[in-house]
Amino acid sequence: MPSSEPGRRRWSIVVILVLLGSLLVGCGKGTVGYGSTAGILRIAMTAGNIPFPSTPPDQGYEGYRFVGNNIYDGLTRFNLDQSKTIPTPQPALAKSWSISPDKLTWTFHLRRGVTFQDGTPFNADAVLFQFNRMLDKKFTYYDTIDAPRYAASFLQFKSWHKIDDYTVSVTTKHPYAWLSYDLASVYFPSPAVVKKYGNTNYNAHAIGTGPFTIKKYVDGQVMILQANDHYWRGRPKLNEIVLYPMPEAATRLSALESGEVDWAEVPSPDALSQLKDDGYVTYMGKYPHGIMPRFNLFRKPFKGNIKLRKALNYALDRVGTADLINNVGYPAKQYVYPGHPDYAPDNPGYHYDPAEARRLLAEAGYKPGQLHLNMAYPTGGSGNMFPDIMMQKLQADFTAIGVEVTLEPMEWDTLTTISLATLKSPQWKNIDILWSSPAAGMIPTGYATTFQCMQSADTPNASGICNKQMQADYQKASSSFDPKTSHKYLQDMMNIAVNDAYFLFWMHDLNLRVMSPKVHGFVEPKSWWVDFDNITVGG
Amino acid sequence: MIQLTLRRLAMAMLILFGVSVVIFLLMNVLPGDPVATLLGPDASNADRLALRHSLGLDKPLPTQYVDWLGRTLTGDLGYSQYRRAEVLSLINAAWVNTAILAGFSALFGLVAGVALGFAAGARRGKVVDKVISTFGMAGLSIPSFFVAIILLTFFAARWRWLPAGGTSLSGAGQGGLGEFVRHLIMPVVAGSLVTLAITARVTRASIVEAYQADFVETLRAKGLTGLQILRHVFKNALSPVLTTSGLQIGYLLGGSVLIETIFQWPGIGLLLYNAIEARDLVVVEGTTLVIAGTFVLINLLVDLLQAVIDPRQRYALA
Repeated sequence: MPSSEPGRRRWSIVVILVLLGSLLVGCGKGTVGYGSTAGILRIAMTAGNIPFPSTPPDQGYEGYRFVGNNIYDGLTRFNLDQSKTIPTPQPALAKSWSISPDKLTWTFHLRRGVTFQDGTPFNADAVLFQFNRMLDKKFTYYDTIDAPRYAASFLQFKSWHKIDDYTVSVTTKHPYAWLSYDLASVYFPSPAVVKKYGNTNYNAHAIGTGPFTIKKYVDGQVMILQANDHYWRGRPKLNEIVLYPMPEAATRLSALESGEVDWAEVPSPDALSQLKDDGYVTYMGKYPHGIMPRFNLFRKPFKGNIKLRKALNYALDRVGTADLINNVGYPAKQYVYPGHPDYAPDNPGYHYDPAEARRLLAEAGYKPGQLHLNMAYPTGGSGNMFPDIMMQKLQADFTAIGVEVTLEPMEWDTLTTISLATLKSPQWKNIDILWSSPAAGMIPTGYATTFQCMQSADTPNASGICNKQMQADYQKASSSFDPKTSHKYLQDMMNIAVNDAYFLFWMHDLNLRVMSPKVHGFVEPKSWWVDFDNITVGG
Repeated sequence: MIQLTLRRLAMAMLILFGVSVVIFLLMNVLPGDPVATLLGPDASNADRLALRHSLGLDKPLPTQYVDWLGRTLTGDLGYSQYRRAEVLSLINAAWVNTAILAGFSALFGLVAGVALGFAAGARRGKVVDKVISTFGMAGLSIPSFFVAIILLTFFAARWRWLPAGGTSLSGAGQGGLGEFVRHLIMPVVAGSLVTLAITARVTRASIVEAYQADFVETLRAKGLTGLQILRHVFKNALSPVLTTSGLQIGYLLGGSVLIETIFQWPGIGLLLYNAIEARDLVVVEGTTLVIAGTFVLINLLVDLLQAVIDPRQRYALA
């Protein structure tokens, strides 16, 4: 063999050294990290793509939080600049409104002098343009995709009129107190831009009246928002917001630690202590978000079997689950968190009591080992906390009382379509329990899809919940113009939901996010949305 | 040769047809509803039915397939209602990025693989051989996503030497060749590890086999130097390396879903990942077809190239 030749040995060594050297090229010099840039806030989102700047945006509430609320305004806006109470609607593009004595017609007085980012005026015509675009199928610019996506916000609209250039009215189908909530997320695009590019090409040219305007938008990669110098509330303090889609938690964490972003959504809870040690600022706080799986009430074993539903609620070791996720969530007693205005007082909910769970299971007609359940849950996705580890704990908790659970992991988007198809549909009827991660109590209209018998005009409740008293409570709350009375009805609704164990009341989220210490002025509201106007970034 | 080319082309077309049927069926039996995903939870059932009708999704599956195939054959991969863009334009933009990543990954993986395999084969049984073989086995065994996360942890998060993701081509203010290279390093290293390892192993085995061939003894007897013999050995060992390289280039050009997702590299893999998440059927179908087409085409080219440089292969393939 030629291996003994010294020339070849040298040659081999040279090859290996060259390769190792090539691995290190670029790693060693001139690389000191990016650090922060004054006035520029760079954010790693959990979304897999840049949310479309459409009205409404996509990518769930991340789309509203980072894109929608920054490019656009609604007639109303939530007071997100405080962290004490659940935000409520405040004047925005409508500087005031009045309600007719019959409680059916709302008259909105529009703010004068507001312009879209393309310089065109915001007025009653612009409002009606968007209303028609979403509601009138005969309107030239009716949007066949975005209109159905906005349907819940326009559900109570009966008619809408221009009174003068700065006054519009909306008449609702019934006395409806929550129109100002609905209108906070109804954004207004520049009619001139929609007319110029059409609905199909609008996204690439999106223009609103909001605090930021799109400077650069590369689908799938980056969106750069630039401060709107002419914003009607005053120019925001930031010069730019840069949004990056980073669905992988490891990537978000690395991007933060390498100084490429200043703000990372939902890092892994395992990294918490390391992040704190490294000087990053972590934010956690109570806000309206929970993990509340739903029982399939269209059939046995849960239909008509309250004891079984209660048994499973007592079987859940919520404190243990919270420990497993480093306490970035906390045990749920009800659908909304304690302290929420809709929280039912004097109802302690369920605690961990395996003995009580076994007793109720027996009373429900099942011996240990007799009941086998299928539970569908997402493997990830915005607002789902940490499903894999939580589900393993749930499975162990149920096994401990003699109930077997088969876990059915699936993509988040697939799971959301189950809600629309309902657990009655042939494709999904084998599912006994369905994962659910509602923005529980962020806006009162959010209860409609889960607590009402019909989730939309022609689609029943996804899990088959249909309780006449809860239905009546919701209707009375939505037609009550006194917030205290409204909350009373909703408290009663929550009380029934707990007593009848319509959900697995499991975990409330603490909304973990982490930022560079150079980010200042951030207020963590009790909301999924954030006010960016007063945030600053030091150099 | 012409007959061989035509035969291989016909087979390639047949494979692509098969792939198109499988892709179409798979996407239609997977759980999830593209219309529900597109319109969101607030849309009424009537709205969903209307959109389903306008997209032709209420037609029987065979009709949908024939419609889709007909459009595809004319070069129209459809329009993504979800992304509000032509599928072809989405694929074009992503494919350029994947080609850049694949090109550098192939260059690194193949050159390094051949060099390491060559060094190991030439030093069979020695320390160099054992070290390289161990690294080769590790490269094949360790999942690329794990390597990616390790690289991110140290090179991006801990030492801050390299950016964690994205490209400088469309980033926020970071530009220049240096930035471009810095964004490439980690995805290239993580993505080319399998290519490097396979190429090294195949090259090593091929070199060892070639050294054992009779012609080497003849060359020695004729008095050729070690380096001259090595040149002949290398040429004879090249054929299996070429086959493997073709497969690897095809694999890299198909885009690595995991690598592109972890490093947010906006290529065809990331496009596919996002499309599957959103049940964007037309994009999934178009993207998968392009990936399969690339793979088939590269293999076709490799087969033909082999036939050109090695007459024995010409007969074998025929």
